Formats: sequence, C-alpha cells, structure tokens
Amino acid sequence: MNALATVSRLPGGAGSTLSTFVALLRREYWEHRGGLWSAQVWTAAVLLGLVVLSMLVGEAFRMNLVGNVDVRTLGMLALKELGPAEMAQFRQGLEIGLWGLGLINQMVLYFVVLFYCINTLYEERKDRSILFWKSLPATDTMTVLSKLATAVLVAPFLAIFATMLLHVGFLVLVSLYAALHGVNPLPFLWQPALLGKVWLQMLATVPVHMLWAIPGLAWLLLASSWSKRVPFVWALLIPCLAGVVYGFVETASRLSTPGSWFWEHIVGRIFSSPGSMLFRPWNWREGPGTDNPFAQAVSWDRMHAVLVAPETWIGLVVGVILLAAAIWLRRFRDDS
Amino acid sequence: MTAIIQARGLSKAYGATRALDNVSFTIPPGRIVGLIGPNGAGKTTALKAILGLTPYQGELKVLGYNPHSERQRLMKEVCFIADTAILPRWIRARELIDFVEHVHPNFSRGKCMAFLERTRIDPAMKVKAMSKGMVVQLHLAIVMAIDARLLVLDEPTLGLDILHRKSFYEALLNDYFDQEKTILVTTHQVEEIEHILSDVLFIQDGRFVLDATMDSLPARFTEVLVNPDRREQALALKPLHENSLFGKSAMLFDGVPRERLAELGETRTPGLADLFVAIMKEKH
Repeated sequence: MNALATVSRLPGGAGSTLSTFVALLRREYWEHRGGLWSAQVWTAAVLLGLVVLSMLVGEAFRMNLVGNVDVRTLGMLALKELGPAEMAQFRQGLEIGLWGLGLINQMVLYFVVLFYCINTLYEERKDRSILFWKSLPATDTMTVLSKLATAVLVAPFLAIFATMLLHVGFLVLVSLYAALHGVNPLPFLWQPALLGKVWLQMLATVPVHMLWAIPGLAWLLLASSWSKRVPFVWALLIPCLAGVVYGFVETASRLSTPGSWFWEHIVGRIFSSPGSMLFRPWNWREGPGTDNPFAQAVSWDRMHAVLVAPETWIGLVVGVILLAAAIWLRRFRDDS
Repeated sequence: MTAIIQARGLSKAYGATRALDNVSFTIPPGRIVGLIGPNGAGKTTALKAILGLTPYQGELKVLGYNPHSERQRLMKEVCFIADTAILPRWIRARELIDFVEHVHPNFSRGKCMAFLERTRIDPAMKVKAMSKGMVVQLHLAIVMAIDARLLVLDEPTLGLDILHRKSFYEALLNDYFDQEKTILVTTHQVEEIEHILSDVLFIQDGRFVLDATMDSLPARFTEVLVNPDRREQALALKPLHENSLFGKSAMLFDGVPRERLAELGETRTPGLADLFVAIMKEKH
C-alpha cells in the first residue's frame, strides 16, 4: 500500500531496529504486491462488475419479459414503507450482504498467505538472493519476523481495505440504482453504524486470528526454510501423512477414535492458519444454526472464545519454538 | 595498525572433504588481496567463514568481531558482492536503494545516485530487465556508497564481457579504494586483477600454498628461458615448474638469485598466471 511505501523518515534513523523492520515489511510488499494488493483490488473490481451486470440483466429482464413494470410496485417501493421489524430484517440482510461481499477477498487472502509462507524462505535460497539480503545488517530474526508480520498483519489489513472499498462501491451502485427508480437510498442503505460495525469487526478479527494462526504459519515458514526442493510437500503433505500414520497407530492400539485429535489440532490448525476468521472451512459446522453465519464466524463471542481457549496459547508457545527453528535454519544453513 | 582479518588454525570440513585445512593468515588494512585457487580449493568457504555465513573451527577475527556470533555488527562494516546473480530479480533499482538506505547506517544515497547516473540504469528498472553488466554496476553503485572497511568480492565479474570487467575494476580503484579500506577478491581472471593487487593468497585443497605481497614476487620468483645446453644445470637448481616453449624450456624458480639464473638463459619476472599454474602443478 502507498501509505507503507511512502514512509521515508523514520525515528532512530537508518539501521535502527524500527527503520530496518519497516524497510523489511516494505520489501515484502514490493515483492508480493501482486498477491497482497493487486489481486484484492481486482477481486473487488470484478465483484463490482458483477453487481453492475446483474443490475443490467435485472433491468433488461424487467423491461423485456415482464413489461415495463414500475419498480416501485416491486421491492423498492416496499423499502420505502418498512416497519421497524422489517427494517431490522433488511438491516440484517444488508449485513449478510456486506459480509458475503468480503468473502472472496478473504478466499484470495487465504491462498496468497498460504503460498507466500510456503515459498518465501525457500525462494530466496533458490534464487540465491539470500546472499544479498545477508550482506546487509538486517538480522535473520528480523527478516523472518517481517515475513510473519506480512502474513498475519499486512496481508489481512490490505484484504480488509480492499473489502471496504468494495463495500463503498457496492453501496454507491445500489444507491444509484435505487435513485434511478425514485427511491431515496439514504435512510436504509447508508447506515454508518452498520458499516462501522462490520468494518470494526473485520479489523478486530485480525489480531485475534493472528494469535491463533502463528503456530500454523510458523510451521509453513519452517518448512520453507527447511526444504531443499518442493517446500509444499514438507509444509502440507508431511502433516497429512503424519495424520494418516497417527490414525493407523491409534486404531491399532484401539485407544480412541482414529486420529481425530491429530487431524483437528495439527493438520486442521495448519490448514486454517492462512486467511482470517471469516474464511475458515469449518465455520459453518460450528455452533447452533444462525441467520447470519458470517457475523457469527467473526462475532465478539467467538473472538473471546479464541482468546480464552488454551489451544490458542499452547499453540502460541509451539509457534514461537517453530519460528525460532526457522530463524536458526536461515541463520546457519549453508547450502547456497 | 590492527589487522582487518586474522585467522589462526581456521578449518572447515564438509563430510570427509576438508574445505579449509588449518589455515592461518593476517590481512592488514589498506590492502587489495587476491584469493586465488582452482575450483573447489576452498575459496568460497574461506569467504563464507569471513562473512559469518558458515560455521568453522579455529580462531577468526574480522574487524575485531567474531563473524559467527557478531554477524550483524560485522555487516555494518563489511560489503559483499558474489558472482553477478544475487540481486533479487523482482526488485527495481529505486526500491533496492530505498531498502539499503533504511537498513544500512553507513549508506550514502547521493554517492549511489551519482554513480548510477554514469550508467544506463534507470531507477524504475527491474533487475530482471537488466543485462548482467548493468546488474553488476547496480550492485557496485550500492557497495561504493557504503562506507565499509572491508569489501569482499567473490568472482564479481563472472560472465561479464571484457569492457565491463575493466570498468568494474577501474571504478573500484578510482572511486572506492583508499588507505582505510581493504578489498578481498577471488577470481579466475588472474591476469586482469594482477596489476591492482597488493597481496596474493594461493589456495589449494584447503591450504594456502602462497601468501605474499605482490612487491615481494619479483625478488622471489624468476622465470628463465633456459638455453638447451644449460638444461641439466638448470634442473639441478630445482625449478618449480618446467614448460616447453618453441623447443626451449621455460623454468620457474623460487628463491634462486636472479644473477645465478641469468647464466642459464634469458630471465624475466613471471606473471601471476604463470606462477599460479606452476605452484598448483607442483602440488598436484
């Protein structure tokens, strides 16, 4: 992002820890600008394009097939005369819509972060640029931490920023559409409180998810720093194979149901670490049925649940150990 | 004056191969030292140990630091260029300069830009769009703008054409080197750096087979184009190396007074390349 790219004067001066760390983050952004930002903006743009398209199709359908029906006799008129109960329902519908719009950004984020973590420490050894980075006074610890911070902070915040732009773009388009049909969009579409709530919740999930995701991402970084070739084999296939073996052993010893613990807490944790709380494959099988699965996935309750779960904190300790191993390997590995 | 690099009993083994075998040497400040040896002789291992990139046995101090445990502090005062291809390919020249400016306390953007202006490199250009020569120029621009006490060059001109090779070393000598700085360079193109070196280290099978200043070479080594009738006499003086040339025999002597050799035939001071071949052959 530009804000990140234009920082030029930093406290402490060149070579200070802060200046170095910010420079490292910018370096990651420059290298992965395509995945971290462009892909998110393109996703938002394509979705807005689809919104426009669906409006055009809707118009054509209304005019050609149904005849020139006055839109006010359909949904739009109803919106003008909503009672408090209907208004609340509409509000919830809009909220689901806003969450849903952000979902693709989160899916893109998931894959970008997954492949970023798997490749980042491997690629710099493969193209030997590690020798250049190591010729400068930036420590291995700072370098690896800057890569982790890119995965857990920079990438999610950029994805959310793209979603915010998407939300605004969407509301503007729908407002224009409504206004075109004589409906004043302001009272029901432009609800700063609702938009603020959704945005705040999205932003708040980032640090919470970070605590949860550090061990999984640290594992991916360790695999990246360890692999001689094809790092995704180490990062993803090895845990899966270990899960299968674990399952066999457990079944053979007839201690419990085969391997579920390992799959849930190790393999599941690794696979759910990239991305965000909003995009976690099993969000929807958790908890009681709800009208708004998205809002539930990122609810304050759920954030609280993540923060108090012992797995989060045990995982964090494991994560720190895995990170230390990744840093140690980058520091002392000698094969370039 | 304190030594820039001091090694005592430096060793490093990869499995059964001893890449460095108990070597000791001292490099004082203000020297340009050529580390010369055949492939696999241990040159790169020695440089890696000096740069703190690989663990080693023995004692090693670089600028007073232990390169292994004090790597970060060392890197503020050492610059390093390895053969052309280590600049990240995705980066733009301007981004690279920005990055170094924020990370390196002793970097001068002004100096770097001044040097870049003499090249055809556009700051918006990505490394992958540059020719090999340009990549080296960019790297050199960055390194020359860093006020470092030690510059390590590992085959810096590999794959460059002769014009770029020449201008690389010219820039290094004219714009970079001074009495405060020390340069350690490895290369295969011995003839091209011969005239800029102040010291030479020959390395073979992990050992130093020659550690001398360039000034001391003429007094020590002599090449004689031996007259055929004097061949027996010459062989008795134990030449390092014999080479047949147009039916005559060229012999290289170590430590035999030149006046004595003059009786055997035409004498001259051997080039570094001749010396290299002679010493390496002798040990083979």
